[in-house]
Amino acid sequence: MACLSVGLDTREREGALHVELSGELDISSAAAVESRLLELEDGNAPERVILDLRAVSFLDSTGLSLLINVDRRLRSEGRRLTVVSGTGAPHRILEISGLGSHIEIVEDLDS
Amino acid sequence: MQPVRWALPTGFLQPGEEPARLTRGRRGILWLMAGVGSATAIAGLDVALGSRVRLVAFLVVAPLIAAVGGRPRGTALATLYTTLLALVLGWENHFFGTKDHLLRVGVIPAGGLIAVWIALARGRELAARRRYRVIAGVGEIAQRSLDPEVMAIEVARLASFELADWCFVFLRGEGDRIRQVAAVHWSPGRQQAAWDLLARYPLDPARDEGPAAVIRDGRPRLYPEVGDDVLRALAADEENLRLLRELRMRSAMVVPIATRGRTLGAIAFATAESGGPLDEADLELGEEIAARMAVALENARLYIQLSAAESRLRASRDELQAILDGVADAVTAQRPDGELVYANDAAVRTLGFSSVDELLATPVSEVTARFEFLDEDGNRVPIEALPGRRALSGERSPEPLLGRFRRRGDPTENWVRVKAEPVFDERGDPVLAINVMEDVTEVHQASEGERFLAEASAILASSLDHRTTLSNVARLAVPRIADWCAVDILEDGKIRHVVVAHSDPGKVELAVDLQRRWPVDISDLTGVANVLRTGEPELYPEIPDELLAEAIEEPERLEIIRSLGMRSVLIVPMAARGRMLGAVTLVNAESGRSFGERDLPLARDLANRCALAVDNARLYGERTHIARTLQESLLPPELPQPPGLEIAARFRAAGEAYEVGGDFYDVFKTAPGEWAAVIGDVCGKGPEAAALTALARYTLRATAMREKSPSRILATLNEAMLHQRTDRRFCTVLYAHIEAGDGEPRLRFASGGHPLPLVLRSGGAVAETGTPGTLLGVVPDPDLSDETLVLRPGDSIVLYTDGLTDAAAPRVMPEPMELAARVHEHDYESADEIAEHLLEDAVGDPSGRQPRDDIAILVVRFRPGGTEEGAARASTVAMGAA
Repeated sequence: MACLSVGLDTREREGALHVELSGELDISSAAAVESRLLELEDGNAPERVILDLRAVSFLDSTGLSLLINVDRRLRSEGRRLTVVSGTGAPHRILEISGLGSHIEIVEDLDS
Repeated sequence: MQPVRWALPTGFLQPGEEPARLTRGRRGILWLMAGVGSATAIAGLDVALGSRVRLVAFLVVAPLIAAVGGRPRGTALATLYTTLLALVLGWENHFFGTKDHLLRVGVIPAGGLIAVWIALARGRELAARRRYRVIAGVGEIAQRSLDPEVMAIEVARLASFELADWCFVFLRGEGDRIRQVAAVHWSPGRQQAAWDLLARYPLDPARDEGPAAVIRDGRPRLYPEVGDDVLRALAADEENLRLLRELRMRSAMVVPIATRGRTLGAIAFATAESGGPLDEADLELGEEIAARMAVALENARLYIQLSAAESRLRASRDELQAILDGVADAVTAQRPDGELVYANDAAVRTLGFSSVDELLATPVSEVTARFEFLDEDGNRVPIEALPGRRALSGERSPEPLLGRFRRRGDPTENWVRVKAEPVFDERGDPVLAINVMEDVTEVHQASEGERFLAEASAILASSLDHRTTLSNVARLAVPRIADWCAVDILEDGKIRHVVVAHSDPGKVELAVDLQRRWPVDISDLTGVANVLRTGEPELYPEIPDELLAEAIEEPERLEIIRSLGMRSVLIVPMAARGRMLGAVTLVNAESGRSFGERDLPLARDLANRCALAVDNARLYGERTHIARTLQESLLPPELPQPPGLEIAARFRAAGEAYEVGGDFYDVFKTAPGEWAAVIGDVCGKGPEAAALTALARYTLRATAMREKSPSRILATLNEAMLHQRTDRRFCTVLYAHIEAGDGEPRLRFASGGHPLPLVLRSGGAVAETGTPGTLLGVVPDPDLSDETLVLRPGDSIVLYTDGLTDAAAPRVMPEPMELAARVHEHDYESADEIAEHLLEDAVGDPSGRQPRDDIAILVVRFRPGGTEEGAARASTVAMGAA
């Protein structure tokens, strides 16, 4: 098992599943994060999933793929995804990708 | 509960036979009656004759006759009777009281006294005879039988005839148990009663009376009269009492069977029909029978134990011999003078003899001259240092010796572990050494082989350059598994020599020279060529000089080969995935080692691993070639150089060379004076990414011919991706439309999720320009928009993929603007210089790490001097990963 470059913390936040990712979300970790998310949602299926990327130092195209896939999956089940981009590297990449009009992306979670 | 042994010895009872005791009693009565009868007859005669008691004195015969029966009491009675008769006769003859009468009457008691004395003596004699008979009988029985039960039954039978009517024998069993071994009455009809009794009421070891008590305390008991009280003490219940009464016992005694303080059992005697109480003399005889029986039983037990022990000993000796002959280890025993006194089969074989007798008859000096023993490093071990000799010098458990054993004149070498243990006599001097020589060749070779193979594998895995790795493996093999190791590989149908290794470089030179002057030819009938043809190994345990001389024609070549001293050769094929790839040649020379069948597995394993390494390198090379070809096909082979423009590109692939990257760029003409410059990034790597790259590139090219708006062109690509692909792989593209015609140069561009272009103005200003758009292949309605830029001569546009900024991420992640500014500080003369500097700046990471993603850079520069054609073409520089 390759050692993962990403960390994952979860908590409940007002009925939503709040997943805090940290480290590098790239080709070596995206698949593991995705299967871990499926495990977490299994038998739980929260209305809303918050993927918090504020502690992510690097996000590549595979990481973007992950966000797109999760969003698509939740949408098809009538649920929704919120990505918290922060202001670092993920923010810039999300901005460039133009996904803002398709995926709910917020800079911070203050509410 | 053991059953009573009821089986009777043959001839136990003949019909009509009666016990001696009964016969003797009857005989005594007969003699008494004869005496009394004769006295009565004499008295009658006296009266008839009127002889005035003349015959009275003759009455004395009566007690004398009675005394013959041996019964003193009967004799005394007869005396009393005749005395009274004599007195009565005097009365009858009116002669009573005369001196003569009294004298004659007086003779009778005097004679009676003598008769009683005779009867006593006679009785003692009879008793002595009986005792003798009984004891002789017991002795005879004891001699005849070793079986305690048969002995008990025969003794009981003897006793029922001689001593009492009933005789019971009880023997102690395991623990507290008491076995009822015999119950005998001289009459078979009566015996049934005892059988019924004992079958239903086995002896209770806890009884206070009778045999159980005697066995418990070892004291004899005499019951002169067996009254109802005695029977009640013995009986468990009324039924038991009834059965006991049926035995009609009158008098009884129980004696212990004891020897050396151990009570083995008890014998019970009881009189019934023959009457008469048992007395102290009977008890004494009973005890004597029991004592003799105890001795006999004890002897029988000891004898049985002894013979069992003997047979066990014999069996274990035979077993030991069989085991020692059966074990693979060579076992010998030697005396202090070194001579062998025992050797098992394996030892005989190992030492090279044909039989044990031959080995044991050979003087030890001759035996030791037949073999030699080398330690692990190959040094000869002197005989005195062998563990056996050390054991004989008194050393207990000398250190086992691991080394190599070989017989002289036999090249086979075995790894052995020799152990020895001394055997001491009672004074503590060593009298024997037991040597065990265990053949550990396979174990030793296996562990040594495993280590070697593991190291060889590590070397083979260290690089894809198989020539280097094979050379290193060959060097590893000498001198560990052979004195020489050579590897040849098959390339394009020819045998190519890769390496020959020996620990002495001088010899290697000689061998290389040999190889160069007389190379192995594929048509050779034997050796490497034959192994490559057949795929079967060749093994030459021994290479006699004659064989060499016969096989090699050239005298000089033969001379060199002889000087190398090769004496044993093993050639194994290198084959992987069904392909013959080469051969490994192992040669033994100066070490004197010889290859055998047992060396084959290791050599084959080594050759297989080498083959796999060669094949992997081949496959890797093929894949790399395919990937490179594919990648190149996705990038323009040459960049066009439109008039007034300078175009330069850089591509740097990340990761393994056999992976096709996802970055692409393209420059093509869409109309006269109009050009398209495209850069893109497909998510992921490998064949699927390559396929999407191709789709993107050709869709863009095709659409650009009929559409001028970059955003619409990208929207078309987006549709095509959603339509044709289902794997949700996305891509980002920056499409730029360049109008470099007669008018003002203009740039129209759109971004589909791609980093925006950098504009480097000729005056020194740097800007990232444009609006981000949605990446392609994900949503049906991407946000895409066109931007327009007016450019002046000397301005440059930099298009790039995110690999440029992410090369050292997340440690170093420069803003694109920073990058551009750094580059723009220099006053560049050409687009090519800008591209080169950007790439260097990105990958010139002092850590020397591989960039984490592909890097593509496309620079478009508007010539400062206008739009004249003829500028040198800048070539694409596509650099693979180092």
